[in-house]
Amino acid sequence: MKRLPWRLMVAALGVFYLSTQLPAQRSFTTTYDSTRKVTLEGPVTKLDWVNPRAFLFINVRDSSGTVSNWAVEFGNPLELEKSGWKATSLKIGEIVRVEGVLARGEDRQASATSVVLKASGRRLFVPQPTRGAVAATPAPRWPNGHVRLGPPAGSKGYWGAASAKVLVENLATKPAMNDDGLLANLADIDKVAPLQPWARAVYEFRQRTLLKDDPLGRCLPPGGPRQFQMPYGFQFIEQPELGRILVLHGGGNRNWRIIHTDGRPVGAASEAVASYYGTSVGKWEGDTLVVDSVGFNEKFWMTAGGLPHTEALHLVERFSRPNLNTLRYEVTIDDLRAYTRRWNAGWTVQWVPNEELQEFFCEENADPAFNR
Amino acid sequence: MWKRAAFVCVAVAMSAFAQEGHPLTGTFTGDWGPARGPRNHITLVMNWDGTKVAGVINPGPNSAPLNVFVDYTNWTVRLDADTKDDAGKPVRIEADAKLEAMGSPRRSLVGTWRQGGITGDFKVTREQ
Repeated sequence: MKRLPWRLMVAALGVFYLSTQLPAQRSFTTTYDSTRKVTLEGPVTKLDWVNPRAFLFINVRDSSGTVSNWAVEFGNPLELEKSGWKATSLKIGEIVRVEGVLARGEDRQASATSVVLKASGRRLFVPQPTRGAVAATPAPRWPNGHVRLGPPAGSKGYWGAASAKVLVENLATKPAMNDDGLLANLADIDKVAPLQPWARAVYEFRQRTLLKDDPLGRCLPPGGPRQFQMPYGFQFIEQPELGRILVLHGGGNRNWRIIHTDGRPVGAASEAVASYYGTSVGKWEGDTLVVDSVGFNEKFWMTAGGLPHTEALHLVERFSRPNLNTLRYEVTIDDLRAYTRRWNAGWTVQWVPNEELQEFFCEENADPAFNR
Repeated sequence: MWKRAAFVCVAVAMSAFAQEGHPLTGTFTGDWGPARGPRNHITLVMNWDGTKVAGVINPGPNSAPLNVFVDYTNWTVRLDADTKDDAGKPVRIEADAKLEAMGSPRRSLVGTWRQGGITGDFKVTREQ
C-alpha cells in the first residue's frame, strides 16, 4: 500500500500518454488552416522520416530575436523515396526556407508547400508526378476463371488511390468539397446524401466544427466505405480453401476485414455483434464480387466529411476489376434510421504494381508534439 | 490495488471512444433539484428507432416511459414522463433541455426540470 501513490502516478501518466496519443491521424482540414500562409527560415534541428508524415524541425528567430522551434510537415516519406529523396537529403544544421500554411490554433506547426535549401536555392522534397496511366491489361484470373482481386500470379501490388476521397451519392451534380470532405458551401448539404433531419443536423455540426471530432483522428478504424478511400491503400487476400477473403488495410490502423465466402447466410443487423467492419458475406455474380454486410457499430464515421450512420446500417458492395489497373467499387447504403431512402455511391481505385502496402501505425508519429 | 487503479485509468481513457450515431441514443445520468435544494439522481435511457427517440426514465422497478421531442434546428429537447413518487403517488415530469458538447462522447443535456410542483435545474451526461 505504501507504493500505491507511485503506481497511481504511473497509471495517471499512462492515461495522459494515451490521451496525447489520441489525436494522431487528424485530417489536413482539422490540422491546418489553408488561409494562413507562412514563411519560415532557420536551421534544421531534427528530421523525423517516419511514415506516413515526415516532419522537419527548424529554429526560427522572430523580429524580436526570440527563437522558437517549429514543426514542418512536408510529405509521405515512402512516396518521397520513390521520387529519390532520402532522410539524408537534408542535414541537421542546414538552413532552409519553408513556405506553407499554418496549423490551426497556436501550435508552432506548418505544412510545407515548398522547402528550399538556402545555401544553394535547391528545392527539396518535391514528389515526382504520379505515374501516367498504364495501357489496359486484362484483369488477372484464377485457374477456375474467377477474377483475381489481388496481384497476378507471381507478382506484387496493392490497391492505392481512390478516384473519390469522400462518400457522396451518385448524382449528376456533385457538391464541391475538399479531400477531407469539407463542403465548399454548406448550402450543398442536401446534395451529399438523402439525410434524415437529425442526421443532417449532425452532419452540419461536423462540417461547422471542421471535422475535429472525426474518430479516425483518434486512430479508430475506417469502417464502411471509407476503408476503400484511405490514402495508404488496401489489399485483398483471397483464401477460397478457407471460404474467405481478407481485406488488409494500409491506412487506419493496419488492420483487416474478413469477407466470408463459404455460403453462410447474411444474417440480420440486430443479431450481429456490432463492429467497425461489420459481418460480411460475399458471393460472385459473374465477374463481380457482391458483399452484404450488417452489424456495424456507431463508433466510426463511414466517410471523410462526417456522414452519420446507425447500427441498422446495411451495405451492399460490388467489386469488379475491368482491367489489371482498375478496381470498380460500388456501394448501396441502406440505413433508413439515418437516411430517407437507400442510396448509391461508387468510385474506382488504382492498382499500384510491384509494391507492398506501406507500414503505417496511426498512433506512432502523426502529431509532431510526440516527437519534440 | 494498483492494478485496479490502472484498470480504472485505462477505462477512463477508453471512454474517449464515442458513439457517433444519433446523439441522444445511450444512457444519460445526472441529477436534478431546485436551487439550494437536495439533488435527485436521474437516469435516462434513450434510443433512436428511425422515426422517434423513445426511452425510459430511471430503469428498474420505478421506471416510466419517457417521451422525447427534439428540435434539430437548435438541438433543444423536451422530455416528459408520468411516473410515481416514493409514496406511489402519480407525478408528472416535464423537462426542457439543450444538448451540449454534441461532438463529445460525454455529451450532456442541461436545462429545467419540473416534477410534482417543484422546478429545478438538471444535467445528465452520456455514459459509455
